[in-house]
Amino acid sequence: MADTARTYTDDDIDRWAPDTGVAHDARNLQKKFTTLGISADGTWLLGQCQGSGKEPYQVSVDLADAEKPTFRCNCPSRKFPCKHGLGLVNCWVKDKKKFKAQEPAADLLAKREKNVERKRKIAEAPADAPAGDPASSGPASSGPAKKPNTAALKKKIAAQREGLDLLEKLVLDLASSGQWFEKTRLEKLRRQAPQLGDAYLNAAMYLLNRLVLIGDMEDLSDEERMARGADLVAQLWQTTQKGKAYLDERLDADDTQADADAVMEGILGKTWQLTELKEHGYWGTDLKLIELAYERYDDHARAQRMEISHLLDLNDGRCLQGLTMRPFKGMQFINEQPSYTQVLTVAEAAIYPGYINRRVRWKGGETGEDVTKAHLKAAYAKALPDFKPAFDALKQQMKHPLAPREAVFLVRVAKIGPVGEQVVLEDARGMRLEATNRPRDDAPLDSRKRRASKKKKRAGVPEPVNLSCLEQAAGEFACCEPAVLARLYLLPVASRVVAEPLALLTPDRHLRLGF
Amino acid sequence: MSREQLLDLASELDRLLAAGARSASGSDALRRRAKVVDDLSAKVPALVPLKEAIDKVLTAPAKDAPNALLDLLAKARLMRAGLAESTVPGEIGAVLSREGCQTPLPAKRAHELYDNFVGGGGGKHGALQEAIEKKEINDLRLQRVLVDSLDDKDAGFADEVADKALPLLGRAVLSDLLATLDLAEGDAGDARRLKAICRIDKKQGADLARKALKEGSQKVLIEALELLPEVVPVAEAEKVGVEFAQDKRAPVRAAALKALVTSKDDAALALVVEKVGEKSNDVSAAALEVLGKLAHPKTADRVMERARDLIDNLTVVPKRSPTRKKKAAKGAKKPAKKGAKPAVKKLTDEEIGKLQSKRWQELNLAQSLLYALAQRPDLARQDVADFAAPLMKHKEYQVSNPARMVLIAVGPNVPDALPTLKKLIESSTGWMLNPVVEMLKKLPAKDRAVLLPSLLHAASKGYVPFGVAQGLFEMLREHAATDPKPFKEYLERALKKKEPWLWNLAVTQLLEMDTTASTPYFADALDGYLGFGNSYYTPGYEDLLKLLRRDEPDGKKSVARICKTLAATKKTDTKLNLLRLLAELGPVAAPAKRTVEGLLKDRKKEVKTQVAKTLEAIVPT
Repeated sequence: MADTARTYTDDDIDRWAPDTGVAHDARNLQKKFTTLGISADGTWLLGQCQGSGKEPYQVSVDLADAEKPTFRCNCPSRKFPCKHGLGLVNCWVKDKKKFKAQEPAADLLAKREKNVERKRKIAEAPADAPAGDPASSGPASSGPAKKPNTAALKKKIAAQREGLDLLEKLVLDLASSGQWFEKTRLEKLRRQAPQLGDAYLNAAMYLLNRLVLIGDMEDLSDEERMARGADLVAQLWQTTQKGKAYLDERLDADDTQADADAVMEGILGKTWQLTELKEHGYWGTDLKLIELAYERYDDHARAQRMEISHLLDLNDGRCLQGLTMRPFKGMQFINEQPSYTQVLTVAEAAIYPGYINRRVRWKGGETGEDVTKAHLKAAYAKALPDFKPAFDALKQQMKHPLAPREAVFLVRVAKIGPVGEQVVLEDARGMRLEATNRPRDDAPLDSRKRRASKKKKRAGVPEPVNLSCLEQAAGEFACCEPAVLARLYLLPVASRVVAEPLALLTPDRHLRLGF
Repeated sequence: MSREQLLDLASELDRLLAAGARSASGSDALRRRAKVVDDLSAKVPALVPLKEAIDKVLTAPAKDAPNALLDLLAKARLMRAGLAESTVPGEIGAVLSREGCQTPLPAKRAHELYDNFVGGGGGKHGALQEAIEKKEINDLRLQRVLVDSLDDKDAGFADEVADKALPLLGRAVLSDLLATLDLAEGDAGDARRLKAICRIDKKQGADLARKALKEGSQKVLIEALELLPEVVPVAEAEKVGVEFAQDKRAPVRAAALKALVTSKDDAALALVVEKVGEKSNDVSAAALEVLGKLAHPKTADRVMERARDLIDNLTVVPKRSPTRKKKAAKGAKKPAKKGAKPAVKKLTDEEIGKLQSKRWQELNLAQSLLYALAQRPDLARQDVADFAAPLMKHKEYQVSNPARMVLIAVGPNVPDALPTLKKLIESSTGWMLNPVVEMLKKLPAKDRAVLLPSLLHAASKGYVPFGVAQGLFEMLREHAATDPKPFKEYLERALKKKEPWLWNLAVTQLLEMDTTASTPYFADALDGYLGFGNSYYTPGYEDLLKLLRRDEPDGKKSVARICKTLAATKKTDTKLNLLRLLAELGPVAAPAKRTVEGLLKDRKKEVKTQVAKTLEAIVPT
């Protein structure tokens, strides 16, 4: 019987699935496939799947590109690939023997040819030809770099400049009259925030939204509200100053081009194309990545679901992030950030400008291998020996006024245990960090109220699971000096750095502490 | 010290922003802190820009005040970050010692389960069930949410978590359960915690249950009583059960009876039997439930005795006197005959009503006792059969129906009862066969063989529930190794019966059998299918197709029969299904060409389209 060029696994199904539901449904479809076939050359999987209609769906998976198959199905689902396509691959993964020899119909072959032709044309197209999807924020925007439209760019810069003026006025007004947390003022800010979005200042808009959310929060003490509000107002003020300087092409003496590019993304919400990143040198080759943790949370200020895959590069020990931001509206149209259970080898990947944890993105072409003890040992060896270098690096990052006040590190821990009500991580030199769950405190009021009432009932039961998982596992891992993948972040009021544990690692075990 | 002073300055700036920039220039508090920064900047040059920014705020004219304050705030923000520290003073305590922590689930699956468990709606039941079946529960990240689920509003879900999910996590969850357990003021969640603890660690559970008996809230106390037989010695459970059976609160009394379930003591048995008649429904229901599984060897005898007593002494209700109209219709009073018995004192309607009510209660109690008896596992006895057989003919259905159940529970191992049991099964129909099948399924294959013909006989008449047919197939297949005849007969009957679901069940059996055993049945299966008249039954079509591919790959024999039905049918669904069937047969179905072509003029477009496809398949161009 024919075989495919590559061995497919459950991991591939998860990776290709637009969301968890589709992957789950695909796995329950095995009995619904009435016919299963594979072409002689192993590049087609074909099947008929009985759906809710009278006629079974005609499903095919074109494996000409073994890493990036083409799924086809005549079901009416808007999700792509649909559960039937993934279900067909799942059948192949589960039991190859069920597949009988079958050749694809002529129309499928014609579609493949057309596809190949299209790819060839794109590859051959001159670099200045318009192509690709400029708005794409997904993992695979394709095509050569777009020729910049100078007039449109000028118009955009003018709009951003106006937006920054508006923001400056808003912030000055807030500082001048005080009482930024008054309801009428918050309402006004809420109304004005979208104007910043219209002026291509998305990141500034998110900051303003966050300020409104903090003003609205009822379960914050006045001191904390004022401190966090002041922090955001100062950040907004810096945004206007830095943003204007950037638009006027004036870099500060201590700013590098990478900082400036990061600011551009951070303030102006720029969407990078892969080709653009390559041109600017934000590019890596032969990455060997192991996912140590995966997390997902809703950011209500951004109105987006953030999905982060924390990837450790086994070559150089960098903690990178695979990141997908899915707006609440239309979330179903953007694929989830994949979570990887295998070690990936990526030939080429864009590594975004940024600070300690850079975003990594690639366009297919990765190969996976099962995680072995050798991989875990290699990952463990990349852990920082103690907290100081991580702490110093974070402090260095925070010197940049617009840099995030958090960063993820893999560090070795000598002790884990309670000190009073706190859980503490201690390194070999005796430096300590308090382990905490990250407060998702800008959630809308209703959900916080629910959480608060639950907390009241069962005091000390936080919603995220990271800390409780660390506490549970500490006893078992403490003896072998584990490495902890932890997000270090600054608590602005107390000016303290604390750590959110994301994963535990030893040379032979890996525990994910959250999701 | 300087760190605190600088952080104090930052806090002051937060307040000034809230108060407004115009108040900043005149702020004494800021002025005081400026002095401190001034002194510090003399030693730490890095603080000079901060000092300058403060001076600017203090000296700025009103219109520049906001600018100056914001610049200062920005500098203070950086200062706060620069002052960041991470110290946690104190001795690090001991951590929990546990083993086997693992997080094997892919992150997304773990998140999906988590979302399901914390979310509302009925989906969480299915998710939990699936996770238990797939052994996905034992993931460290789900532990906390499962423990929290014990307080879920959905009591069914919470019970399932306590009953099935948490015991799978084992001792790993004990500390979490213990940390949140509140015996004294506990609610339903705490009762479930106690239950989960008892299932995981009997010793610790026993200690907690004993404690709950003394100081637990009512809900926790009830749970503790019900759990006692699982965690403490029989004598202790017995003693506690008897003691709490006198409690003032009915739910506690009911739970106390459940604590006696492992008892073999006569007093306990007498107590449970006595409580059957208690007014409180909770208590009487608990007593009946306990009687169904009480460990005392004489339980069945006592139940029979009590039931017999009730049935033999049922209150007699005289007939009501005819109404006035009926009297009028009957005409004038007839003179009493000579030698007639003296008239018995007539009862009023109200008195008759009371008697009827009393009789009704007695019958209900007898019914409950008999049903409780039928639940017992120790009924394979001649005396039980002798007790139940005559009751089956009782005129009151509250007695006759449960008596049948008792006799079924006696089973085929009591030789003298066997003829009666056979007759009973043969005379049963419809839903009444369900308990028969359930009873037979519990028996070893050799013991049930004697009753299968009776069951087959019963199943040949009238309506047969799905569960019965399914059970029958299962049992007959087991027996087919020694005696294939009954299975074959039932299979043939099912295939020919015009019941799509039964036909489909039979085809499923055929598909599960090996080829040689099932081959002769394909024609029957096809005939059965064609006989439906309206073959809308899509799953059946799929199964038939599978069967056809396996057992009659050339399909020649089938073509003529399919053509005959196709020509005769007027149903579009049937036409479509049969045309698809012919198309699947391919060139083998070429003799059907004329029949298929005849449908080219069909009124329905979809039929015509399918005809074209079928013709292409059977007569390739």
